[in-house]
Amino acid sequence: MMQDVAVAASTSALSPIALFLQADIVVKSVMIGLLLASVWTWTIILSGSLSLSRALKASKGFESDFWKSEDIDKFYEGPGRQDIPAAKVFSAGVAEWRRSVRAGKPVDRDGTRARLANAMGAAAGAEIDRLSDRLNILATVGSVAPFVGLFGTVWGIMRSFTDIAASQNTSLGVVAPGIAEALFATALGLFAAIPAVIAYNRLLHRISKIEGQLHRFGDAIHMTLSRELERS
Amino acid sequence: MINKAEGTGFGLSVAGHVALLVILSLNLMSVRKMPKLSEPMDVMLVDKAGLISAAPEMSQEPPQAAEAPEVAPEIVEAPPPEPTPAPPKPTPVPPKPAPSPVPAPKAKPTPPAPPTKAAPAKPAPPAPPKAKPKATSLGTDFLKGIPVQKSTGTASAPRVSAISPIAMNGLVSLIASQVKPCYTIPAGGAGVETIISRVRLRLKADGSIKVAPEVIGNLGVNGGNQPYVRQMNEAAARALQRCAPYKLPADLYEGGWEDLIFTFRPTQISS
Repeated sequence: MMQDVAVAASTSALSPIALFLQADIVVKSVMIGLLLASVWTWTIILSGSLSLSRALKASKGFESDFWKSEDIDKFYEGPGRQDIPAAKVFSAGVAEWRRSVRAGKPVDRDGTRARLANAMGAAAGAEIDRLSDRLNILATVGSVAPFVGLFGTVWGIMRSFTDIAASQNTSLGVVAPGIAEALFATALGLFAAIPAVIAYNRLLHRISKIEGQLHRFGDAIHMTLSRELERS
Repeated sequence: MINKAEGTGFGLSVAGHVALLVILSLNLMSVRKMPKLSEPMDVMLVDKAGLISAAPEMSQEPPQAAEAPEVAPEIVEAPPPEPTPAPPKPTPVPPKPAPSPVPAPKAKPTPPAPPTKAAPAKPAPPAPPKAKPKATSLGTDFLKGIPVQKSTGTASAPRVSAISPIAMNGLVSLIASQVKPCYTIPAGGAGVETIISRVRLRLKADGSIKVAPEVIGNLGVNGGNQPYVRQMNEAAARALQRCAPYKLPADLYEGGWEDLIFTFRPTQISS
């Protein structure tokens, strides 16, 4: 009779919450950790893709504005101050230009060119660093979460085998709940890892796209300014 | 550390996880019933005995006897005498009561009969059929084991006759349809599908279980599937317990589903 009660209880308890509540303390902590990892992963995915698409769009808009503008100095004072990756690169270049080319001083053309390239490359690098700040978390979750889940599963199955040995009963009703609950840990691990891996690759691709765009823009500004240098 | 975009992302992801959890909880609960409906195994409710009194006593012996090969002869001999008296009586009441009264008187005499006739060599053919084909050969087995109960039940129970055979048929299929979803065959085990468990269940008027289901016998047991008999019996008893309480017409309780004997036949529909 007792067996039947146990079977009935276990079949009614297949919802995720019940699976969690039945679990061992170790498996529970694994599940909580994986759930938090999943929440954090999705936070990064959503905010990252949001800020990346915003940065890409704003940078493109800024570039086209820049090529339309007549006066670099005026443009620098106006839209050049914005918090946009392309604007940062542009303002770094212009600031370096102003520092190097002062009225009444002989201009070291080669040195100025090198300094301009360095300043804009550094600004672009800083922007990329800022954008890819959280990506390492995605990579970590993507590679580690399945192992953590597997650990929870192995632990849970070990425990359920101990239970089976203790109850001296091998009917499926006794074996199944423990194993289902243990496998739930692996499911959570994969649940956290799969989006993390996909998003990592996707965001990395977009960041490298932005990086290329920033460098091309920096090179264009560099060419413009060095033409200016020759004229002066 | 957390900027505005990350704040919205965090809110969205938490909301998404909670929503997913809720959906999964609801979904898994509803899905849980699906596999039961699509059970590959079929449970046939072959017999329903109305009366408590004589039924169990009679049933206990024939099934046990059926396990042993020696008793098989009795089974064979029993049918021949039965058919002759049977035709005359069914005429008054065709559906159920008809066959039942017939075996009753014959059932008891049969055991003594074999010794006198010294058991002809016929038993050999009937014995193997038990193991394999269910529909036909087990049917003869049933004639041996079950009708005995039916007969005793109907004979000694005037109450049963109060319920019309049509109502009884409807009742039987109603009970069967309620028990069927709860019956799962334990996995594994060769030859398990020939084991037939007979389980007696007494119910209260509200449909809940009065006395825990008791196994009163098995049929179709051979050397190969002997180890699984207990498992099959447990599965049958568990099915009855799991599906309780039953929703059955209250007016048919007395003499109807007050005391039931279920016959669980794990036959595979496909093969």
